[in-house]
Amino acid sequence: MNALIRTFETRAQNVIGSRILQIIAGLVVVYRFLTEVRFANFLFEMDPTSLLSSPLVVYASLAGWLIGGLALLTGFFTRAATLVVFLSYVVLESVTVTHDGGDNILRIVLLYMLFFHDKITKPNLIKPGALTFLHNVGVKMTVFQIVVLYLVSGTLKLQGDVWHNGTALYYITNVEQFSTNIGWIRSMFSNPILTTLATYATLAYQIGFSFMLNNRYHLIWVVLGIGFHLGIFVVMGLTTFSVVMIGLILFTVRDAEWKTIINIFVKHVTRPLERRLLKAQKLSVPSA
Amino acid sequence: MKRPIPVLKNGFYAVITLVAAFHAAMTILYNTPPNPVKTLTNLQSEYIGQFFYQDWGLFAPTPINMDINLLLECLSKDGFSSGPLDVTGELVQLHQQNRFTPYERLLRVPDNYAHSLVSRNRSEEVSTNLCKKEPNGKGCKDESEQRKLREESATRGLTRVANAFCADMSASRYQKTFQKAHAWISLSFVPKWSKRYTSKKETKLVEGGILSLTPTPAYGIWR
Repeated sequence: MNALIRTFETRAQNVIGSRILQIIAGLVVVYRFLTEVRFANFLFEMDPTSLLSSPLVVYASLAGWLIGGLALLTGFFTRAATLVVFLSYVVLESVTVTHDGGDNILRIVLLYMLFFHDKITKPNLIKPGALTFLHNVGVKMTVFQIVVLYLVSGTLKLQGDVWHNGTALYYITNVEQFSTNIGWIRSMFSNPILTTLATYATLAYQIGFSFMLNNRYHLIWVVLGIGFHLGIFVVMGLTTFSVVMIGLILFTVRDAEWKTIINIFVKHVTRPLERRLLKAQKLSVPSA
Repeated sequence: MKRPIPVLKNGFYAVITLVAAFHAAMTILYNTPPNPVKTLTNLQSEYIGQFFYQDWGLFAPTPINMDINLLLECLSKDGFSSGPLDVTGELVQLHQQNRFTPYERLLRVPDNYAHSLVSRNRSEEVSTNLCKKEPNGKGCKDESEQRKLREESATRGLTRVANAFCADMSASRYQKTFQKAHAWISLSFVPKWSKRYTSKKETKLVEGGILSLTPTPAYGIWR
């Protein structure tokens, strides 16, 4: 037990992922402020006689998204900013019917993000102690909530006939609200092989997510997940949902894995580029 | 030699761990299907349902298989009628043209209220199933109460949409003050997989009733 506590209070986990999640959360709420504030009267059901849904509270919450979101994006006062964005989410979600799964998970995860260390923008300043312990609790709870989301969503799908027989994505992509005006993408989902593959791949990804977290092939799962949610963005147009889910998938990448990614990038992109530049320089300098 | 962790700090860590474990246990229980543990306690609904509400039935178990469009006819006191106008069609097109616009959210307002008027929610389905098993039981009473509440809430929502839509129509097209609106919900069903090349979407109109409008400023959503 002592050893476990020491591990938890000594080294902050998923520091890079936590910062990415803060940036994504900031980006989403700033985007939502910019696109929704003009139509706030329509999107949010305001009631001057009720405190929580009064126009003042609704507009203050929208301002909370903007200010808190900008602070999360830039890394200033991140804990206070997370609290402001979380409270704004609670208020605004209670007065609208427009929320989706992305808003739902972000609201819950923002609560866990309150535990993130306020020095994650400068990881060298993170010291062992109670704040690091709290950070790691926040990280584990966030991962737990993502696992619950995928596992519940995946197992619920297993109960549906059209998910069983591999045609679910044909039906979804033919509903105008969740479809695209790109003709070839629409017709793609009438193809038996592609529809079946895509439907089963969705199930496999969601149910397999939790089993791949601590697996050595985790990074492959991360790439697949980003592709899956980019697909949802392009085909179904669920913009903020896709961005939030990509942020959560990137959050699960451990710091050691980020180092591996950086090493691969340096080896296969930066170094060859440097070598090419040096070669080009040598060729351009006339020999004596 | 490693220093032992002070008692106070240990106590703090223990409390945090216990709170996190309780929260995780409640989250798991809340998200599981009906089971014997849920018959013993309702704590998970009161705790998670109230403060950390979550629903991960994303297109599950049965995904949506129909387009839901709202049609509104704006009516003025002097007998003028705008004729049935498509409220959602234009918003869908604009959202499909550009994914980075407010139309994604704007579309969900009429869509979700219309959907809520014509479709049962998950808790209602549970009551319906109970009612089928026991036709004179509590399930039937719950089902009828839940249906009434859902329909009332959906009608209030549709009235909000009709207020905004008819105000926009008044400002941009007709220069009339509208007092009432007649609503229909058009449901277009995606053909079955086996008939995807041979059939087209079948459309059914559902009466949404006459809605009384209140003066609302034009938001400029519809032109």
